[in-house]
Amino acid sequence: MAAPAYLPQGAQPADGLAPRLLDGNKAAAYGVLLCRPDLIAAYPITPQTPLLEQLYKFKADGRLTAETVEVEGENSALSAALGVTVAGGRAFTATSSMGLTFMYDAYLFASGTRVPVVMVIAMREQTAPTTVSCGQQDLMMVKEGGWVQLVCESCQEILDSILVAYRLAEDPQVQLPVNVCYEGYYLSHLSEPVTVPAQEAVDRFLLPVRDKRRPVLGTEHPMTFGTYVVGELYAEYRYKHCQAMERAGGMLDAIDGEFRAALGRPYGGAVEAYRAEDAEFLMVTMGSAAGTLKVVVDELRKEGIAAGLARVRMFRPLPARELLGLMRGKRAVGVVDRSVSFGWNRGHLFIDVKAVAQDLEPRIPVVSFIGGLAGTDLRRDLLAGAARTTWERGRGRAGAEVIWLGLE
Amino acid sequence: MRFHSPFEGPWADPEAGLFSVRSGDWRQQRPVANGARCCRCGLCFLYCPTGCISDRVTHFEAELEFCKGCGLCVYICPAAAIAMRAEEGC
Ligand code: SF4
Ligand code: SF4
Repeated sequence: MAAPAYLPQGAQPADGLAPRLLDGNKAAAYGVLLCRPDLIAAYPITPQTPLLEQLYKFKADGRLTAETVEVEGENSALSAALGVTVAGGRAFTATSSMGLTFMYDAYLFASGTRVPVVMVIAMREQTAPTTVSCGQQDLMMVKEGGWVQLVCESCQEILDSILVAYRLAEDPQVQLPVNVCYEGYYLSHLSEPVTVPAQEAVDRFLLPVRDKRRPVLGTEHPMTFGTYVVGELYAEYRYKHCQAMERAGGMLDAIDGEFRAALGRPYGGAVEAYRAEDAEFLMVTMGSAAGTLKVVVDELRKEGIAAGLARVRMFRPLPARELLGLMRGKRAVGVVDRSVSFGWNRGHLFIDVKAVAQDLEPRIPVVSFIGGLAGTDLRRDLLAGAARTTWERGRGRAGAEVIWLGLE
Repeated sequence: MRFHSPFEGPWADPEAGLFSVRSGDWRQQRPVANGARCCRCGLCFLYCPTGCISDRVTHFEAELEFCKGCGLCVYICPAAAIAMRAEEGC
């Protein structure tokens, strides 16, 4: 029997549970509940707030045993989560936009100190101009912060990615903090059918945190975390951090396999390829717009235009090898970004894809499409236009390297 | 690859000393104890900011791996049992 359309390709619901209608924030909350955290410390900010409300409801109903701390700000939220994590617990926090900015020093401390905490970013534009609308700009402000960053396409993937995030973060080979990112409103507030897995199935996939071997802080064995470091030691920790990032990249594929075995849903590892194998040109994006782009790819295919899509699930570390493999043999690549890089004046994912495309022989055109800022729709007609432009570039038509969808 | 730290990140445990960096690295002068003069009052032990002075039974003396050379112990010692000497090359 074919999997229902809301599940990833090839999915077989292993637990036989009926899906229920959940928005992205609720799906995230169920993911957190199933991971049996010891602490939730967070500060409400739009569009992440309903995620916290759902967690507090679980707590009030007695379903969630975690300590919940209503901190005075985001900086304290992440700091509290770090404290619990180095003490051997499992902690969760979530934020958006300016809240993320407000915890920036703790954010860098988490990765540099190698603390395997998990944090949701319900993605929103960054001030100014002031807005609370959807965008990926907040994630882009921390893309070089040393965290592993997963970007989701659907509400089901949000729930599943929380489980994967703890599995990845706490792996002794990784020991890195992980962000689970999803777009505000498009995912945080819109509902889709989501299968909430059985607790036993999750427990088989994600061991209780106490079974993990890692240095922990306690009165039995005092330790310091985040000691002052100079010279060669500093370089050594940077080197080890980069090595761990490399391992995290490779490990997502393996974890994807474990996840499929335990919970029945495969996601294709760090990059999801959609009709990419035999495509003449490739569209690349991440997040909710991938759903619309899949529709566009199908429509163009019906017209005889061989379009394909690569959806980046793991933004950091960048799955460069996988992207290179998918781009090889294509005539052009179009990258759709819901963010801008001032300085490059292109989309952020575009910069990465363009850098990876340097290794292609012969060189092919790579086009940056910027759209969907501040919650505007990345409509089917806009994305179809972007795909057609990319296709034409592959056939030799000249044009600008960056195109603002809906503006030009 | 030769690593200085057994740990993945800037963590430290008491066996290695609670700093991953030896504070003795930046010392420009070192305390030299005159054990014969020491009256074993323990003031230097209490005042040393790096906590590197230990009781050697006959007298008190600094552990040079962690002594940062501040000279506080000389200042506090009532028996003039410690003197600072410049490190070579400083
Ligand atoms: S010089 Fe300073 S650091 Fe060294 S033993 Fe004396 S008080 Fe301690
Ligand atoms: S302060 Fe001077 S006299 Fe007192 S224990 Fe230290 S070295 Fe000895």
